[in-house]
Amino acid sequence: MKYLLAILTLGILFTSCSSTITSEINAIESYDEFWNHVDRNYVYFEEKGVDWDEVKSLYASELDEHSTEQDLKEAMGSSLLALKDNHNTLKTHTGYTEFYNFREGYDIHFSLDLVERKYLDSPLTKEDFFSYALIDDTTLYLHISKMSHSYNLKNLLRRLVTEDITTLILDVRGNSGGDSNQVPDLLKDFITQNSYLGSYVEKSGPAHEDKVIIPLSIDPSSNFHMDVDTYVLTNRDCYSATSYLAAMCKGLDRFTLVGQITGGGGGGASSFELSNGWVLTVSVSDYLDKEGQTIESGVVPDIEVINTQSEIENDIDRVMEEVLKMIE
Amino acid sequence: MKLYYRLVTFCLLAVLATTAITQDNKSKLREIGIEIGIRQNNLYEQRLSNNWKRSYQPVYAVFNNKQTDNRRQLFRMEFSQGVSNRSDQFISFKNLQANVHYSYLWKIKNEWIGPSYSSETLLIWPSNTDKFGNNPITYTIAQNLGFTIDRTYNLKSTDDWSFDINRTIQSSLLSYNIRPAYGHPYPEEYLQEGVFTPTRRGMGKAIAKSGKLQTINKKLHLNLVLGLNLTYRDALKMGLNYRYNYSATLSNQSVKNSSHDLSFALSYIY
Repeated sequence: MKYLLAILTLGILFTSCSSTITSEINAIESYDEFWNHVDRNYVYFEEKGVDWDEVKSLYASELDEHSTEQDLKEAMGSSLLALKDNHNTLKTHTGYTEFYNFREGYDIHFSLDLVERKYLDSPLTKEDFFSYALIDDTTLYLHISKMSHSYNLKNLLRRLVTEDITTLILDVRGNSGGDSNQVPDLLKDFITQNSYLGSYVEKSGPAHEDKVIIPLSIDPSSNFHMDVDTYVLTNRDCYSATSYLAAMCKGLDRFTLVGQITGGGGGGASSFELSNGWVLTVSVSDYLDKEGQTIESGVVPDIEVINTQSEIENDIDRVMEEVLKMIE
Repeated sequence: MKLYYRLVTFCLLAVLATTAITQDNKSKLREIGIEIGIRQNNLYEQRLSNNWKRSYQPVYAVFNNKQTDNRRQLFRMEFSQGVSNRSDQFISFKNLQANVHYSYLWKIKNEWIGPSYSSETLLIWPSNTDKFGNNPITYTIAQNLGFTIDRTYNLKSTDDWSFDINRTIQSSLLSYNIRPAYGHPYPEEYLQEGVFTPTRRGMGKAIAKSGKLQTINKKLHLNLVLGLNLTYRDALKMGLNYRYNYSATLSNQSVKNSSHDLSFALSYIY
């Protein structure tokens, strides 16, 4: 029986492993935990040129054992803002810390109503996040407001792009992202040969330079091909998955990007729960365009055209007009 | 390729061990049964959280044991699935666990002692209430070689009934452990030739090759079992079992799983 007692004792000892489900940790330890997680997982230190040690010395020095949760939240929030990445967030029990504003400093003007009123042959038809109408017998306009329901988008395009259609305008202005995973599959209908789309970058270890590059290429669809010239319209509102779409389209045969630099957001965000229950989300992966440049700071269009406030107020969408001029 | 050969060698050793076991044809007793119970599961996955996540979930198992006067074979497959408590937590875990144990034991005095093989799979799907929910599934898939110590204490017997207590200790010593701490293992040809396609072809092979041989200080898999069994006419057996499981990959981004099972087993002896 002494063996049985020994086993039971061991069991009780191991049970204690799970008793640390919640624990009180002070602000300095919490900041260290936060800082270490970002240090080991964030993908853009080199690209952003941020000295993360310096950030720590700046904000951790404001904390001591008497610091409140609010002090801690501000220190972590300010540290995240220093990385200038909208995908980086901190969710606390009293709400999020401030988000980095990737639109700051840019004039962003777009009106779908204006496009509908002035440039389309008929009112927009809406399905899911997609609005479409013909501009003339051979030109289809499609606005995508969110990168979602990509399977439906693929089917919709296959339905709408008939043999008569020779030009497609894909307007993604104002689209702040969603899911980028289905974009390569969507583009298979537009290509005629194996095409390189860019590269994914993932963290492969805790050091800042520990990264692995995964080149991405696609084969054309075997059962469908869209024989069209495609214009992709972008502005600074285009973020994350929409920047992925722009980067993957840019440089493909018969694709032209027109408009304003996108908002970037190349980071794939991954969340982590800190000991105090707050959720820290940081970019842990990146995407490189066909030239090997990160898309984090934005995808520059082939033809840069930027709407002004007064143009929109005067019923002029210069981006649309530039595209229509090219089509003619 | 070194890793690949190690994997093949490891599998061959496991198969040889199994083959050796099956050469014992003089089985006197065979037992086949099922087990159903409740598991209190505590998960710590450092890729996703610095907190333990507790869940209460069902556990199901089937087992098949064989015994002669001086040999005993234990085989058990178990499955469990559950979701951690969501209250007041931004991230919760859905976990799926599938484990297989096989032990081949010799009788030494009153103890049954011998090598064991176990296969453990732990999949975790995080559920996130945060603005961006891109967290991937995390996985630990391990093939373990270790030992088992087993003993049965007879408490009382009548002509028809016997009442005994059983205790088993199983531990791994060497493991082939697949547990990416960062990112995801991609096939080598994808990285070299740029032919990665989103169809994920070849990903399974890349995952299988990404494992590492680890000793008990890096990868631990431990089981402690205490059972109360009532056997009727050496044919039907009912058991109430307490089982403690502890599994851990102790590395840069560790994962630990600790669970307590209380289960009811019903088996047929022939």
